[in-house]
Amino acid sequence: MEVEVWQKGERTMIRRGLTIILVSIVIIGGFIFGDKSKVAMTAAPDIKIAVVYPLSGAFSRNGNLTVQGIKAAMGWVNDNGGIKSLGGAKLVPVIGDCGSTVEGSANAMERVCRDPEIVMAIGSWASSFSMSSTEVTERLGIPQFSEGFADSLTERGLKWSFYPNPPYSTLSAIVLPQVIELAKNAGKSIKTAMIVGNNQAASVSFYKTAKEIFGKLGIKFIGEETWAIGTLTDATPIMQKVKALNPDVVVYMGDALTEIQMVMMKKKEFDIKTPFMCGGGWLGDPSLKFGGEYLESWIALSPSFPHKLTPREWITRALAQCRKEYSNEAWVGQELSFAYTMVPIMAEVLERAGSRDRQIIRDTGRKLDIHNVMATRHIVGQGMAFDETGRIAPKYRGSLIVQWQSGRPYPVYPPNLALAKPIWGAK
Amino acid sequence: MENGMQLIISGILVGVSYAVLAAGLALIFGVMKIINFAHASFAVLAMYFPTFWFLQWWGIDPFISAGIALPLFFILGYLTQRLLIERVIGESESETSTLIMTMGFSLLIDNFILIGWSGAPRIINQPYTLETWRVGKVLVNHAQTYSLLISLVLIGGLFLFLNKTMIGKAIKAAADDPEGCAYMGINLRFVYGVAFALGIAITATGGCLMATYRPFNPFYGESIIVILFASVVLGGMTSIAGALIGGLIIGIIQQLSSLVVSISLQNVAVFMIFVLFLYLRPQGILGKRERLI
Repeated sequence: MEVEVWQKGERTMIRRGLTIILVSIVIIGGFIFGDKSKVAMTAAPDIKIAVVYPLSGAFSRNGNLTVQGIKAAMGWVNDNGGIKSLGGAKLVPVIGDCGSTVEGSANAMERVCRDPEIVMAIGSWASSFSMSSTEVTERLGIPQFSEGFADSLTERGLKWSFYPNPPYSTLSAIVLPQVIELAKNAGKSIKTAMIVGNNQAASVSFYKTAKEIFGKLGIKFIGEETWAIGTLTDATPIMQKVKALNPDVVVYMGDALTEIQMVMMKKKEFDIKTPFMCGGGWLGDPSLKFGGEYLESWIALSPSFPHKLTPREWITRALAQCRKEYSNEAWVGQELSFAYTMVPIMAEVLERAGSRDRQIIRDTGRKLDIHNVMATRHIVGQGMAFDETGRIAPKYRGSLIVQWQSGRPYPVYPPNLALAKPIWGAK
Repeated sequence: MENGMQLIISGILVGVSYAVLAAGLALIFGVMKIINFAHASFAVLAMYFPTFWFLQWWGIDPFISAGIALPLFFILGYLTQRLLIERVIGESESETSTLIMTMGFSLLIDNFILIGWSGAPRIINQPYTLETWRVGKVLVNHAQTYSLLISLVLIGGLFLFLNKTMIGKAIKAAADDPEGCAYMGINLRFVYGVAFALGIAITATGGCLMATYRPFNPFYGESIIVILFASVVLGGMTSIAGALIGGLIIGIIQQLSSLVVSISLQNVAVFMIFVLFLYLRPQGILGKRERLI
């Protein structure tokens, strides 16, 4: 009996001893192998930026590419000393998935922004998603940058949103007359046009502007076929109508890549020669290289596409980052380059604000006016300032025309940023 | 006139694709009374593997991959049924359990494809993908026509299997009277496994054929699963022949509806006709009066 009690006591002591040793190993190991930047007491805390995009669902590719671009751009800022006025603090993305739905966008932004250390936000690709995520950041008082083009984004009187890309009305006003000019130079006269595409907010803005501008130029719209984004199952009826009506040009908007592919395949299958003019730079997406020969001469307008003045380092970083975490892309398209219209500008704002206070950051952003500096290299107008609605100021607004030639897209307008000469119509 | 003819031809070609996928769904429901929400996801999986990736890696033509998919997905379907679905059949609330289980499969498959092969939409770029025959002013796509012919062979093979083989007859018997089959010594677990496997194999092959003429992405299944259910219900729930006819009708309505309504109302037109039809004939086209399974 005595022996049993003694043995039980010894076993308990041994267990306690082992536990103490194991816990000590874990604690000491944490100090030895843990994150050195956290151990170094003098490093500035990271600057957390909420990043909300569709990472799953129908628009996962668009969202994932944009996020990879953001990571690459933040990496560039961090490798160049971070935000110096904040002790070299590094930008860190805090990522949320909006799941390709409007409600998802608001929920994800709400969830990510619960962290009180979030100082700014970026999101959320589709204008409809940006509409809902900016409502959240407006309520929480967090400055949010968005690539959204829809005019309706800035008609809401929000005070905390920033849109470094021009609205569709401006993009169209810059590009559409150039397209007509292109046709004239090729000896073609445009008298009729047709609308084909989805009916989301940005697209409707684009169609409205196209109708106004073309109307002034005497061009008549003879047909319109629109659908809810993500619902097109077969493009035969649409292309049958295009073939039957035979307009001189088709004004096309289709953000979902599968839908673009369906339309371009049917266009080729039905041997439709009518030039397609697209209101979105997603047409330059590398995934379309699988059918690149079907897109010959297709035109797209985009405020963000690598051009002559875009730093080569930015392009290689974006491709390397994407290869590391997502996919091996053949080139940088609009989505992968969106970040370079936003992140360098955000870094500049933070640098000038010298503070993590959201109000100060917002006020600094609204007063910003810079041009011909590194941060504006990728912006078409080479400068950035914001008007009272948060949209890029008119003096810096610009758009590229991107055109598919020989199996890949090139910017062809404006001439100072072009990497190829424009052509008209497929052979 | 040519416009109408073009749309009817396109409707038939698209409808046959729906019909093949719906046939697999009807087989599974008819025998096992399982509503398989993952049905279209299996078709999408087959579009990627083997169709797209065998072409990329080894240059294997998608129509050959369709033949490879048949035994491959038969095995996958059999394992899925025997290892997972069988566990909940016969339990209380098994209908709800299998419904939720198959919804889970659907999410798993879609996101497995997304994680493994990214969300980039893919297209098969073969010589026949966009080539057409011209019949008057009507254009008939090569890839869709070859798919139609192979689909007819597949459907014919299915009917032969069900009507001329012992296991096929056992499947039909199990659909009619599972209890009676058990008393007769038929191994119901094995029969269910084969029925589910066959349904998935047919669907996967149908998916391979669809991939030859249209782009696809990991979530394409979400856009057609409702159409497949509509085809099965329109056809008469447990009738494979009915599902085939239902798929064909839906394909044709989808195309022809663009003559009278905007493309955005295409599926509205489909479901309006669907509801009207069921109002007039609730049992579906081949519901109770005639079953070919």
